[in-house]
Amino acid sequence: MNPYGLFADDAIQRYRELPEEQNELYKKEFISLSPDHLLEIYQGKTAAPDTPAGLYAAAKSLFIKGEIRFDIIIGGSGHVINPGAKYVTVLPVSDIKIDALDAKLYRSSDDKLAALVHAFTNEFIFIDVPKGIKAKLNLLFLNITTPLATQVMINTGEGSELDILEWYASFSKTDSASCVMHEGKVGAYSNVVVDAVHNEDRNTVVVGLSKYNVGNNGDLKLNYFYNGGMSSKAKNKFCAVGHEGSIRVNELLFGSAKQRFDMTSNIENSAPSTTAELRSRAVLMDESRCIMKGFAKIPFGSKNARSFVHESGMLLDKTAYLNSMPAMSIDENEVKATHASATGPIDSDLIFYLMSKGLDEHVAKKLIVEGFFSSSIGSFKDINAKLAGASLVAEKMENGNFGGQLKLSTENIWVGRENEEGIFKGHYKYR
Amino acid sequence: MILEVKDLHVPIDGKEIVGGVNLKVNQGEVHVIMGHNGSGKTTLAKTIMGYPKLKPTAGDILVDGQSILALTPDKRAKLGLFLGFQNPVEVEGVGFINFLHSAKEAVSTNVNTKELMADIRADAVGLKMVDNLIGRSLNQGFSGGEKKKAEVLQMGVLRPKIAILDEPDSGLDIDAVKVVAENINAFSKKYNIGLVIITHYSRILNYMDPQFVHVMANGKIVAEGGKEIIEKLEKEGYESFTKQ
Repeated sequence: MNPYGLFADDAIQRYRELPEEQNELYKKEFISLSPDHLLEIYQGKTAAPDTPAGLYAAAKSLFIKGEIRFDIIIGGSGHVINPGAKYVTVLPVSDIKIDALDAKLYRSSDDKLAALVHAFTNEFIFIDVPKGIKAKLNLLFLNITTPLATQVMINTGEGSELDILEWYASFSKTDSASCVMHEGKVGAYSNVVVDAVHNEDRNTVVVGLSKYNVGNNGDLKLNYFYNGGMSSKAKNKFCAVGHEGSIRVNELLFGSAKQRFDMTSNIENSAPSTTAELRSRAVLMDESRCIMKGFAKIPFGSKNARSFVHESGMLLDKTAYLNSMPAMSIDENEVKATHASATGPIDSDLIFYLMSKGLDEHVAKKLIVEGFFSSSIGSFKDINAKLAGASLVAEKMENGNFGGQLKLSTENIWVGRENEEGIFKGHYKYR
Repeated sequence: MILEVKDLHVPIDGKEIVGGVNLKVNQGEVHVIMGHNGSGKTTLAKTIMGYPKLKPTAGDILVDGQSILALTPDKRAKLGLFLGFQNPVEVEGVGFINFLHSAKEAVSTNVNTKELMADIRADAVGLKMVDNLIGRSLNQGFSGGEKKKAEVLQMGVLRPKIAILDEPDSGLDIDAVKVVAENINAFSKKYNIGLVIITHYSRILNYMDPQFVHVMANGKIVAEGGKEIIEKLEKEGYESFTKQ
């Protein structure tokens, strides 16, 4: 039994009863998670469960060139193989007393998807950065033969700073899953940046759930890049609950080879003078599909709130599909709020312009896609996340691949944007 | 290199925009095509470069005696053709230098990045481009004049054999017209680039020395000659040629 008082079977039964899971049209348009399939994956016996040695070796082989040092490696079954990182506590799920945790945002009664993910979780990662402390943590979520389910809770004290790099990878040879739930509480005057890169392989179902609350004058920046996984379902809610709290979400998706994405992000200005921004960019090709829902809410009383939802997409061929649905609900008059959506095929005039200068069609398209993503990738704070983002885009444009090993290359990569001088300022740098 | 356009006919939506144009340009020569709005100049230029939406219904375009009609724009560029656009498109997020580097690698072999960067810097100074202009995304947020200078800079860096410059003077102030013209001349002489300058106005030609002037009207070349044609145009306007 998990802390919600649910066994996996119960959680699945409850999830199966959700109205959208009963609706055939919804299931056709969106990604149906198939809880039975998840149960099969999580309860299936693997011939060789992930071992710490195997996970360390896999972590070391993630990058062909370059290396990222990970402070926390979460393996299959959600087991942390290298506990002991500063400000991080790893607890068995059964030891958690939910009501005692100040940062707890999910409740089983109001989110059955969370309950479903939680039902498979074994360990719980609690990141607690005290008042006034600066911290940087690199997390690797990695599964090989065992599916992964885990829960991360973040709590930052007043005036603290926390930068997190999250890297998601899998090397599964059979159907697998990577389900990760985040809950975060950004304290007053605290700054939190999360750069998350998903590069799971094509056998993996990805489920991402996040809820963050931002306190007075707190600042939360979330940069998500969804590149891997056969089907990905994300459901996020970010609330600025304190006066002048700020949330900026930067979401990138790059789909190929029949990948499926079902992304829902809600932002909410729950207090006066708060800022909430959601920018989503998607490039799709080769029968990939994406549903992108961005919803902004400004409740009554949130005077001088600023809210912005912008979704844009580029389709590289006629087999790709994108449905973007920005929406807002505004119950307060004294606010600034806007939303926008723009999706279309890659511009043939842009391709002609570049080709007329000598670039072949593929290189022209590659440059256009890299350009489309460049400002978003440039927003990543972690230099490795920037490199990885650009490398993943280049790799997928080159051969449609995702998952597996990645060549972290600085060639043709946008680095040193802030530091370069003269004509190279704000530019790609060549070695 | 010799570029030949032979009896070229190009329709747009069923209407013939270019109707039987003949033109021959040798590397190193300077040609000017003048004509009123809608006379078919830009359509001719884009067709020569291989714009996919423009399909010739008759005639041919030859480079050194070989038809290039079946070639994609990049292959035409690799042969040594260049088009400076009338309205250069803005390419979001693609750095100007990154683009130039990729384009240079596409049309040349053994590109030395350091030398290329030095050339870009020197050419940018010659064109009096704002220092951070070439550090920005390709044509994004450039003024009309800046875009035209950027096209000329590309010509200087890529060093084609024959360049078609579609209205390199439009949108430029008086001083900038002179700067652009002087740089076009310098690049042409230094790298032996044949030029086809497309323009409405004679101002830029005050700083250039074209050997051949062609006047286009209603999709056809209606007059050809030397600089004396420019003087006639200045005095009598395009109407005197369209009446002929």
